[in-house]
Amino acid sequence: MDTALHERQLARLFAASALFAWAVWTRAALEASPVLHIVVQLPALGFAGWLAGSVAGQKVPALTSAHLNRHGLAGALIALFAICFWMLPRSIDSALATGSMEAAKFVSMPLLVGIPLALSLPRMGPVLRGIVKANTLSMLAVLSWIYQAAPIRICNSYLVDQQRDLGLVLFTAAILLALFWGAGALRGPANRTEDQGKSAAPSAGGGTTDNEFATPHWSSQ
Amino acid sequence: MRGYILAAIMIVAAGAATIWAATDGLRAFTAEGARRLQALERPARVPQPMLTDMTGGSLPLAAEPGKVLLVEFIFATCPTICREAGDAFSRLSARLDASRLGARARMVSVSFDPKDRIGDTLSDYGQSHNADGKRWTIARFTDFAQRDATLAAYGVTVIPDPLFGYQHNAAIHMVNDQGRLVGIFNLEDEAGVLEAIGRNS
Repeated sequence: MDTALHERQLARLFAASALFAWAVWTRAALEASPVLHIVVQLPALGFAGWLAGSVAGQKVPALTSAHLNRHGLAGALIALFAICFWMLPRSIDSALATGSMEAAKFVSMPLLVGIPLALSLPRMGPVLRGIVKANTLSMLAVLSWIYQAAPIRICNSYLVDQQRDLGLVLFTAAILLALFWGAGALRGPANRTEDQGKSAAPSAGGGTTDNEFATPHWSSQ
Repeated sequence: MRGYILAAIMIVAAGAATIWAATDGLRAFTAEGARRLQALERPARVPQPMLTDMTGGSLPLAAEPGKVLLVEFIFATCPTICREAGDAFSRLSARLDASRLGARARMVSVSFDPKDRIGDTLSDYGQSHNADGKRWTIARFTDFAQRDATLAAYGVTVIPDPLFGYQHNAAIHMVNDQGRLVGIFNLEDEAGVLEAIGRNS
């Protein structure tokens, strides 16, 4: 294995650090609004982890080929539970109220959401991928409905109007994601493979990710 | 069993346990739900700061022996929910006057707004809701340095609102004579408050 970092990998690591530093730097401004807090800050932290994780996966093939993360199942589950935790209005309120929960958010979004997804998405078969996408859309839709329909404030730290805005933005995000994924599915299998390659990790870095695509995982261990 | 299946099962177990713990057994998904549940199951001590009531006298934010104190946090110039809170206390006060439980509860509406003054907005609020000053009085923090710690202990979050001044989680809080927050009720939940007075005094 080649131990030097390729330019693209360096760029990704730099982007990950910059994104994380930016999220820390703009903390107060973003957290003043639930829309910026939930739709910008949380995904930014997750994406920073994803960038770092994609490089780690290329440099340390053992990470992506780990037997325990077969089909990306373990990683997907870790991310799912971490996302569920930060979807709780109660968690958002406590991140605003206590420093330790705030720190937990900044650590867990990259570590338990971004990195596991980066190591797992490339290994997922079409069924698990579909489940992840359907689950994401339905979670967004339910959240957006709750935030728009609730007659009371769901987060004690935010205004009722802001809460409705958040619902509307989440609804828009769900529609855009559905269109994006729908368009991807319509483009046909050949293109889809290409997409997977892109979203996973450029093959230039080497490692086992490409093999993971090619080989069906149902074969015996 | 295949290793990755075992790993998945362990992750599901750990994840479910975390979500279970973070929601008090799937019973409280919001901070508001959590503080209400805590008041019922693990009532915590709350600060007892000295207040200034609408006549200018001193009043501790504490229940007298054998009684409970019902507390609302308000700001007197609030056009919306504090009016409702005042109406709710007005109805509750009348109901307590007619009830045998009446002797076991006192009520105070506490303003967290430094702009509320005795002889001004604070007294107006009391007059417009017929607070008698005996069963129910209106008060403000004497020392506003104690305000934030008190609000935090009660679990009340006050945020500035560009239109109306503030938004805050309005509710009726019940404190027992041990200084513990033993109940948090919706403004319209008179029956719940009456029942809890019987239990806690």
